[in-house]
Amino acid sequence: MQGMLAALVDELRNVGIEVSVGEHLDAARAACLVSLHEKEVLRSTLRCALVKRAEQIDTFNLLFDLYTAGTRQPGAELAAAMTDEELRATLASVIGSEDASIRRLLAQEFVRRFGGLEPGSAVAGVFAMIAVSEAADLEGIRAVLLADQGGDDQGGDGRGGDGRGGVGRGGGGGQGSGGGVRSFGARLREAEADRAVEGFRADLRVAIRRTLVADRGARAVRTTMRVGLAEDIDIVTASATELAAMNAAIGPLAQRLTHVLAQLSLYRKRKLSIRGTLHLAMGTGGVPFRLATEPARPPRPEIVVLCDMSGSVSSFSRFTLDLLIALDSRLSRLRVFSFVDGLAEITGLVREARAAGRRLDPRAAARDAIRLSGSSDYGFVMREFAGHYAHQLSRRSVVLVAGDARTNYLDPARAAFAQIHERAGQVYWLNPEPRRYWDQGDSVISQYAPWCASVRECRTLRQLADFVQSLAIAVR
Amino acid sequence: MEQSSGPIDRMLADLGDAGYLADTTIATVVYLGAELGKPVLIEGPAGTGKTQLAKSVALATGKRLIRLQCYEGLDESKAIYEWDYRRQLLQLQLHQGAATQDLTAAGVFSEEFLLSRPLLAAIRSDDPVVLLLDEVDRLDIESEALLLEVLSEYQVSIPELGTVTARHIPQVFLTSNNSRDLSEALKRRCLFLHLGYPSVDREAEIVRLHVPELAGHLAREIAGLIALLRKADLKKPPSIAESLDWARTLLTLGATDLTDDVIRQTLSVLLKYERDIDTAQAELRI
Repeated sequence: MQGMLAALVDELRNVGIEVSVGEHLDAARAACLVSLHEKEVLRSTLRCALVKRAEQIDTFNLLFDLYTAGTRQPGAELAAAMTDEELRATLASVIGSEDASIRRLLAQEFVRRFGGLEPGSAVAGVFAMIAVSEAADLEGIRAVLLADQGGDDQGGDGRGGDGRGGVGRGGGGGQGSGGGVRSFGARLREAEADRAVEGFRADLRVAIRRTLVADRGARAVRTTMRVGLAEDIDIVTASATELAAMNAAIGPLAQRLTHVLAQLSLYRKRKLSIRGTLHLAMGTGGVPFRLATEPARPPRPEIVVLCDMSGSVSSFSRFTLDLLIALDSRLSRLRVFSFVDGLAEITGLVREARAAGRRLDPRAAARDAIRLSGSSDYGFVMREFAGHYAHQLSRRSVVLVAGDARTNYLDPARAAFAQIHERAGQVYWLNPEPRRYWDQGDSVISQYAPWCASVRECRTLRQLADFVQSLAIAVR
Repeated sequence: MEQSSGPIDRMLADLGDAGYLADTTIATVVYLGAELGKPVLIEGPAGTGKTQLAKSVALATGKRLIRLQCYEGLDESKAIYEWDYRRQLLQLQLHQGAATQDLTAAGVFSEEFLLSRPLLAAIRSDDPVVLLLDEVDRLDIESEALLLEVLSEYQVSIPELGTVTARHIPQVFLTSNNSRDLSEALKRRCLFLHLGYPSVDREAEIVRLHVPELAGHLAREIAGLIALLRKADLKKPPSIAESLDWARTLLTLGATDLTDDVIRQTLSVLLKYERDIDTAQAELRI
């Protein structure tokens, strides 16, 4: 057990899940408290001590399966004795059932028969999955499930499906309701059938893994699975690793930025603390010799980011989005808007992406920001923001605009921008274009500059760091 | 369902008696938290029963529940302890006129002038308690540190008094909606439990447990529909609390069957945004 745990922890660290020594010890102590024979209990036990982020749970489950695979289940002989036809019929009758153990047994048998996983051969898991899915005729089963359940939604006495043991479904439309319309019923049945089939697919994946592990050992399978069943292990794919690297670089920067911006926008007034003063006075017999002030509240600025998503800055927007996700993990009051020729709040998207540990898709971020043409219209955006959101700004707000200020020769709406400046504590502009292109062609950056505390060229992490540094100096 | 081991089975049954339908994972983590004396950090979307779990554990074990609602700007004097300076002043006035060295005799810094806030109350309690720190992700990163000493050592250091150590190790639950990342230091000290939306079967069970008067097939259909809605692109997906509300609404209306009309009329119980209601109707094809 200790050896298995050590190997598992090792592997978790290999795929980038940090496990501290203390957590390893916790897991070992916890494992002593539960029965080791029940896999699900053991899984929950180790998982709650080793994994502390929701998005890592799937990866953990996968690795756990690999390192505990191998034991043959009772009842396997029974399944092995069935003909192919019987096997399919049994599957059709239990696929939607809650009895997971029978489904697992069948999955194991299907893989043994149709997976083509010969000992020693170099077969990737994906091919086995395709072969088995076809052999099990999952599409056919789905169709049967749908057909079976039809008819009970026409308001009749539809209680079909008797004798299909354990198929847990509410079925049975309205007796006595006089046949109300139930057009959503079809959708509900589809979902039910999809869930059943998906559930069995998951069983098949586990069975394939189990077979591979029995043949080749956990470590070898883990290595090939990265390629083979990549959809299982999203968080260790390349782009996520990139994101982690980016986050590591941006993280400290975001923290610094947060801190600096916080100081800028803070009211530095300290209030007299009655409670603290009296507390001090206790030492002098209740006579207040020294005054105490309320502790400085931890600074909590509201940061509003306006992010240009148009084609001309597309390479930059990816960088900005990564920065936003890093900022969001440290700030509770971050609001993010994306714009092209329309304006859309994407705070929710940023938050979801951060919570799920993935990158933000630039297309999703830009989707609602395109109003007409898809080329940027700063004037409209500024008017829109000033009109709808400016009243929500306060002296504690810091507005960051990230964009190239290329208006496509439309009106830049300086008055609206001035209005935003008036409401907010500070306005900063980060321009991803090289400085020598500023004010060339349709760039109107200098028209906005008078209302910005600072306008910076910002194309790289280093320039962003410089920006943060200059802010820090300005604060002092 | 596999056979579960003794203590975990018992935990499942106890929680069931307290009106909380747990699964193996939940029961295991709660059991381990109590046995190892470690706090349990419960994370998941709003309305999946995080707070309810802590309440039910208190109910099931017969322990008192002490709750601290976290918010931005929560400080020591509201979370841990505060000196009762009014009574301290009175005490000093009693000793007025006495020589300065007698001030210690007046004893204004003794336990009787200490006002316990939730954390200290849990530590000082004479009987075992369940301590619930609700929505810790709303705390500022800086004030998270307030919790660390209590959570790992089960003690509170008071400069004027010394260290107060727990008589009974409280069973601690922290809940978080993951609106920001909690610090590693805090996470390391806790066991982690992720509470997502329940499976259709479990949700149907929950509905049956809480609204037993409802016809059995309705519970299952409610659960199926809600699972469908949660997959749709909604601003605020329905929580378990809302599916229970919906079930009660259907019961009150006397609906024996889900029809398009019934759903259309009652969808506003489930969804709180106009846009969501439109999306849902499209998704359900009604």
